[in-house]
Amino acid sequence: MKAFLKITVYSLILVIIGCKQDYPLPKETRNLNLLVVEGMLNSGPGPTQIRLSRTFNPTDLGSVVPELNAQVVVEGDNNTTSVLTGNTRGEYIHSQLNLNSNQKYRLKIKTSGGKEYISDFVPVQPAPAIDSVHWKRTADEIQFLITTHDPQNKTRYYRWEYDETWEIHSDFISNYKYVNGIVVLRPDPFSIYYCWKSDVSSAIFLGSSAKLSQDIISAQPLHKIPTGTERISVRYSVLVKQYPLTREAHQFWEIMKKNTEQLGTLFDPQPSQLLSNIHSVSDKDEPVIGFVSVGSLTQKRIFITKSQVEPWRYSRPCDERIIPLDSIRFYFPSEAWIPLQEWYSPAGFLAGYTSSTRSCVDCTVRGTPVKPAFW
Amino acid sequence: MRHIHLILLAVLFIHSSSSGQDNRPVLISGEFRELSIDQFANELATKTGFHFFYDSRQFDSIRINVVVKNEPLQKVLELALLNTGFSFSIDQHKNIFLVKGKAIKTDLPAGFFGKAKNENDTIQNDMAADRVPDSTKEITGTRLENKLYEIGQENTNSKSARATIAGLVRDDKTGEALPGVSVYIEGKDAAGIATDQSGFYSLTLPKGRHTLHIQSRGKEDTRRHIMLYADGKLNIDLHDHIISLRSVVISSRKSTNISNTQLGVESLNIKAIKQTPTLFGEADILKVVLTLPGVKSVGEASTGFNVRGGAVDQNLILFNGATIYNPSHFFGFFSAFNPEIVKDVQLYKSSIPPKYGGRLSSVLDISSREGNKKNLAGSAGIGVVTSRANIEGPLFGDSTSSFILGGRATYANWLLTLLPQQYRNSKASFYDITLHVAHEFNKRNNLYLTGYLSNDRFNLNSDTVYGYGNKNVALQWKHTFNNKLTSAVTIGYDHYNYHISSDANKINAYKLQFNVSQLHLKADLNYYLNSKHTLEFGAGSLVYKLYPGSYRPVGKESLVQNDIVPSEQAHESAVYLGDRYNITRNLSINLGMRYSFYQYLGAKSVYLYAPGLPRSEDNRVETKTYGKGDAISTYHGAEYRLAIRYAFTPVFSIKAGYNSLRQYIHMLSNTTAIAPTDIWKLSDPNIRPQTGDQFSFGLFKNFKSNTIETSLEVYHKRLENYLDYKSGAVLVLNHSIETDVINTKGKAYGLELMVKKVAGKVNGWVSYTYSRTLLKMDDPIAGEIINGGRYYPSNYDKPHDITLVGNIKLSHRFSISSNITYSTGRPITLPVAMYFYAGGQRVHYSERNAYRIPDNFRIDLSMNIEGNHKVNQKTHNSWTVGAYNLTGRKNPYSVYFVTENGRVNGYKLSIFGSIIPFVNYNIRF
Repeated sequence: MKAFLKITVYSLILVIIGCKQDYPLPKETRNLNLLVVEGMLNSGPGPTQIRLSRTFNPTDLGSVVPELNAQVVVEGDNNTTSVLTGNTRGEYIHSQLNLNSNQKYRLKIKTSGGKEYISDFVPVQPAPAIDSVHWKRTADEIQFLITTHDPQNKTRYYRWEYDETWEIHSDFISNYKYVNGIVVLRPDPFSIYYCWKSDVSSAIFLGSSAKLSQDIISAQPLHKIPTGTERISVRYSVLVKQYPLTREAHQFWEIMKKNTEQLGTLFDPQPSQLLSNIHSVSDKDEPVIGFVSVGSLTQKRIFITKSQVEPWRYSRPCDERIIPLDSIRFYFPSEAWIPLQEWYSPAGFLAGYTSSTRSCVDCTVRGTPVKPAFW
Repeated sequence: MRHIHLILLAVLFIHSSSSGQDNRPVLISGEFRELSIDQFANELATKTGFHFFYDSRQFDSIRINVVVKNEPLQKVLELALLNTGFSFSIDQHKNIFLVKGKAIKTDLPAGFFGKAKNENDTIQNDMAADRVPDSTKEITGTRLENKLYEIGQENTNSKSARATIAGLVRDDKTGEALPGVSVYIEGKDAAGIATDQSGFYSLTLPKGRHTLHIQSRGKEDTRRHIMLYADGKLNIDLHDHIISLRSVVISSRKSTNISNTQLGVESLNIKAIKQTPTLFGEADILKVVLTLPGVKSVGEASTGFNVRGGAVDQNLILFNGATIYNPSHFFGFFSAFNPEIVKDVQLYKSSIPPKYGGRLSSVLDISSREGNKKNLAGSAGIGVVTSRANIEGPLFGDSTSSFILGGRATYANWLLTLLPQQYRNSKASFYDITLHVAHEFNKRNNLYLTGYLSNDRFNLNSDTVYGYGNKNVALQWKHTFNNKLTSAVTIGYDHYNYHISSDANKINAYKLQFNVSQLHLKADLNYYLNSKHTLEFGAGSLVYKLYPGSYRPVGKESLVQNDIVPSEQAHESAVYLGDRYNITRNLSINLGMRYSFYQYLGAKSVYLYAPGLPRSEDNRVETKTYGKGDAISTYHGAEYRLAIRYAFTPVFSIKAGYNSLRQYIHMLSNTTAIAPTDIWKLSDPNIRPQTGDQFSFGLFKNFKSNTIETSLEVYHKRLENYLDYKSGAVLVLNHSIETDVINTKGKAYGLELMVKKVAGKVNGWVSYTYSRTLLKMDDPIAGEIINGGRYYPSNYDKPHDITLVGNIKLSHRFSISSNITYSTGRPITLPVAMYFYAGGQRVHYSERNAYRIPDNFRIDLSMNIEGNHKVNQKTHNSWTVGAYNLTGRKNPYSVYFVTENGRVNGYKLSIFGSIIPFVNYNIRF
């Protein structure tokens, strides 16, 4: 019996593989100029805001193209109407809609160009309270999570938005300032030392308990903050807003999320058509982007201080430098450099000022010195 | 070359009276008992004065027993050699020549004296005779080629002017049957056939002398001289084609591409597959199939392939008759077939034989090797991605049965670090196991068992575990009724399943499962009616059981509710008949028809919708419940498989074909590339079977003694009831999937040019394909019309494709293989507008697939450096050095636009965006 054995030994030298390169946005000569409708008719206490805008060409650098001077009316199926008032940003606002939770409502829009759009009738959905907003620390980041439930098991579909606020500090305290060629004591050194920044969510966060026996959303991921970033350099706060959705609304948002956020995988979905609930009256084939929901929102705020997440390792490239007296006219007038403290020579004479660059000293360059009301 | 010993036994000068007496026959009397040939010849020589010539080794097992009284020499010899298989002849110089087989003519050249005692080829004049022991002694092929085989008894009293010769063509080393070998005769009675899957051939010829030519790729060409008296059997063993160091053999008549009536058939043997450079140097069957004209895929690392504009689910992938639902590992990076087990691959793109059915676009028929019937052998390999081992050998200690068992496993976690960012920190593993057992009960009955198991499991960056696997078993019994009628009966079970589970969040912990299985039984028969007609016919039945999805809680805390989509079942049966009809030498046609019958069966509740309205929950008019086994809906129809060939010359032919097919099972996928989580759906009252047909035409011409084959093929294909999806369609766990799918029409057309050099120092092929695949969705009741109801390009519509696969043998130890490919980028849907929503800038899409991603171009190269070529040495070494994507071009896999931190960013994603070199060291001992 003859046996033979084959052994194959491979070795491999590997250089980097997968990669992602920037790709320019496609040129589009047509301007589709589609109407975009965003907002929720607030059945709870508080104002209602509907924002009307237009689509723009992909190659145009993006800023909102507001749709101004439209007539925007909320209409109930019992024929009640409320008119929203527009502003110069394309926002149409009503300070307090009184919506009856047994009615259905729709939005009617007549643009300044005379085209009419009308939404489907939508039932009023109250939002259940948020149980908790919490976070989980991992080595690289902080993951925010939300837990909520509807004891009546009626909500099932949820969307969240959030507003973030965080305190920032300058790297150095400046006790002096340069005014008209001379360095004087700064009367309020902390006014440029403590500042706050804020931002709003720009991604779509959705949740569903449709597959569960109870309407419970447990630890649904929201946003993340990478370790070492400015947001938790001192103290951070997030206000999470919870919106209830109908099944159709959830589908609309899910398609938008898939079309615009969940791409770049090996198994990308084909882009799907958005299933808006607002349509042109005259041309049923004209696409309109937007889903009008009716309901209330609930919200919850939490705070995180840096000490809760240490080690955070946040640092900025800031240095102190001594500016001798004979050089202050060169450095200080442009405010590129700001004096911090007096500096004395070994002999005991005032020889100059310690100083640093403006962005390291004056936090108002990066944020606002106005402390938020909830802080 | 060994020289032949001619032993002169009797040189006695017989004293006799002078001339005139010689014509009087010498009469012999005597008792010859248990004499060796030497003793016998000696005695006769003494008695008669004749000289005997023979090869004593041929006769060393013969004992002569004969009693004669006053018989002439002629008669004595006849009696003595009766039933020994030996013949004699006497020339006028009183020389007697004893040979095995047909008596030599005494005026023939000396080459005919060559005889061997043990023949590799076995002749059986009695059809019912059992196995003749195989030879253990090597003999040279030329002897077999010069020998004349007598087929049938010379004195058979048959009135027929024709007789049938049949037999097996096998590998002389392993005893493995060789399919697809041409066996033919030339001249005025020209006829020929290719051996079937079990290596069987059958030819009906006029009685008399013929020369059979036997040709097969990778084997030495050979021929057999036969004298056909009556029906009989001739088994032929072929040698591997080993090119000797000094000469290059150019074979002359490998013109099956010209003589075959079928169009659009591609064959690859494992040698060619292993030669083609691939990713990480892992020999990959499907990736080599992708280099063939008319075969495309959406991207470099995607599962499945598209044949002539067909969808991925329209390919029937058979492994020894078992249907493989998911042919790839690891998101489609590697194919799920072990190259150490596979023997060859046939791809039918156009002329699909009537025995196949059930898928619209192609049949990929993968055959495994049979284990070595003579020796126990094995091999093992360690690769970058997989490790593998296989063992093969005779099963019951004799050469009637063999097995081959192979397994592969991966440790490819490191590979994931090469994937795009979001897949890092993932884990993946896969394995596959293949078993093939062959047993020959006797000449007429063979049994084959194939088992296949593949499994994939991966964690994608989270606590979600994905897994999928195939399980297949098939048992085949091949039976030869007689020289003209052969059959193969196959029974088998195929299973595919996947599951996704996650327990990271205790409240939501779930497990999602899908599986589909089929039980199949079929009988395929071949009837070699005569030299003009070969009939194939048969019937088959398939029972499907499909669990579309179950979603279950995992753990006590989980609030997940059981959600189980009720199972589906159906059966599909078909009968077929085909005739390969050679009308004249130049003109032949294949006529085939298949009739398939499908029933969707209970127990099941189905929804019925108002006719003429969009299918939606609102338009549901009735829920009908059926009991177990009740027919819910029935579809049936005929499929035609026609092809015609006219050969103007032996090196030029034109062919035309028409094929129609039906498909009753659909894959549901709304991702561009096929995801491992795509599910299958059976046709039901609301989802009609897919149908398709194809017209094709081809010109085939060979040059330079058939070493260069060229072909031009054009085709036009139509598809009906192909499934597309509505916006927001949810495919998994959908209890009324019919409300989310829409029927699409498709058309595909193209031109394929190929120049193939099959022999010589430089071999390989260049192919150019122009092809379009367009889809159209204009069903007004679907509720949603894509691209205004106009034709739009499908995801895999890549019009231009040029591929060069080549191998250059610079010396006997050094060769270079390359794969150079260019193709148009695939279509994508690009944004046409932007807007702000939910705090972010977002893109709006409209026309589907209106743009294309940039073109693809890639060069893969490998160099094979072999050690010395001495046959007898302890180890054989070879090196393979290669590189995938030699130019490091960042070929796009996709282009996409995504909202990140409130802004839209565009990216081009490349999966293998740089050169990937590899080095293999092989040692065999």
